[in-house]
Amino acid sequence: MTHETDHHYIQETLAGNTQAFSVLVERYQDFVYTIALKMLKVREEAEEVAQDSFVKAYESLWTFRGDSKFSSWLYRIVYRKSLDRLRKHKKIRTLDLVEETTEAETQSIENALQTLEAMERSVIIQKGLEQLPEVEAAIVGFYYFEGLSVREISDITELTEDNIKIKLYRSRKKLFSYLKFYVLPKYTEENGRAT
Amino acid sequence: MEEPLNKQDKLLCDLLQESSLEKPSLDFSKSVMEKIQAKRATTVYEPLISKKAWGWIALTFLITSVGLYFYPESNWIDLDRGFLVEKLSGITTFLPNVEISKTTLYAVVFLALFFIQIPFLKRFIEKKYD
Repeated sequence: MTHETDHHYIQETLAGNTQAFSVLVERYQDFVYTIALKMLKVREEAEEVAQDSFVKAYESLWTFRGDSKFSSWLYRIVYRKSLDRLRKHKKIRTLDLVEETTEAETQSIENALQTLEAMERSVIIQKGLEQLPEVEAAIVGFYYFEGLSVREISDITELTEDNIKIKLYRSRKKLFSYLKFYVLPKYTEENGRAT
Repeated sequence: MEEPLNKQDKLLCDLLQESSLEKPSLDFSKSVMEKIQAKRATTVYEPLISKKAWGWIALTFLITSVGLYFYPESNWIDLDRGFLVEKLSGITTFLPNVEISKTTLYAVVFLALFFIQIPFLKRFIEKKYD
């Protein structure tokens, strides 16, 4: 049942079979919710915005022309809905300047992370992502979680490709600055030597 | 400069791929579908004025016009003396004189206003739900 393409379920939904849309909800709910959560940082709000995004997608499904991927079209909705919610609460932050992480430090961070359990690594990286401002968190999500290209992210966010690249570069810097601060001291303590 | 950036890029890619996506509540899909069903139930699109109502409007207009023609009131606009006569003199020579009461004229003007505002209202509502 669930191996059909998105297009099949979209056509079914448009033909009046509302239940076909539930397959699309189940297919994309994790990523839509993850993006909303990365941007809003609060689970309850993220769940509400993610649900509203699907309802909006259902209502506007007839406007989906199919010239882009359904997932990109859906991500644009959740991105905009999350931004609207943030604007309402006037909570949009910008990234503060951080210092560069050197190649040697990057190597040490990698080594340190390898000594950790996968679960522990996941918690640390999630906490790092929480440090990112809302828009940057969404862009990192699109780029690294979903593997979208800079061009696709530009279409979703309506930011220029250069702007996306700058935001990705700054986000990486911020994340590595966080990892350097939280992972390296622990690692050097355990190994009894400074890097 | 390029080297640590690529290394960082690859490391972040591995780390984020390893950490799984966040999961919404278990009844997420159910809640979405309930919201959709509720919306479907409430938004049954019907024309602003039903066919039956249009029938009544047309009938009322016709009866009023005919009624006013056969039972005229004291207030008249005589087109013979009006500005329009000069403009329409070419046409009126072929047609009998038409006299329209003020009431009918107001009714026609308000009906025209009503039709004019429909596109504006439509655009306003579409913008609201966009």
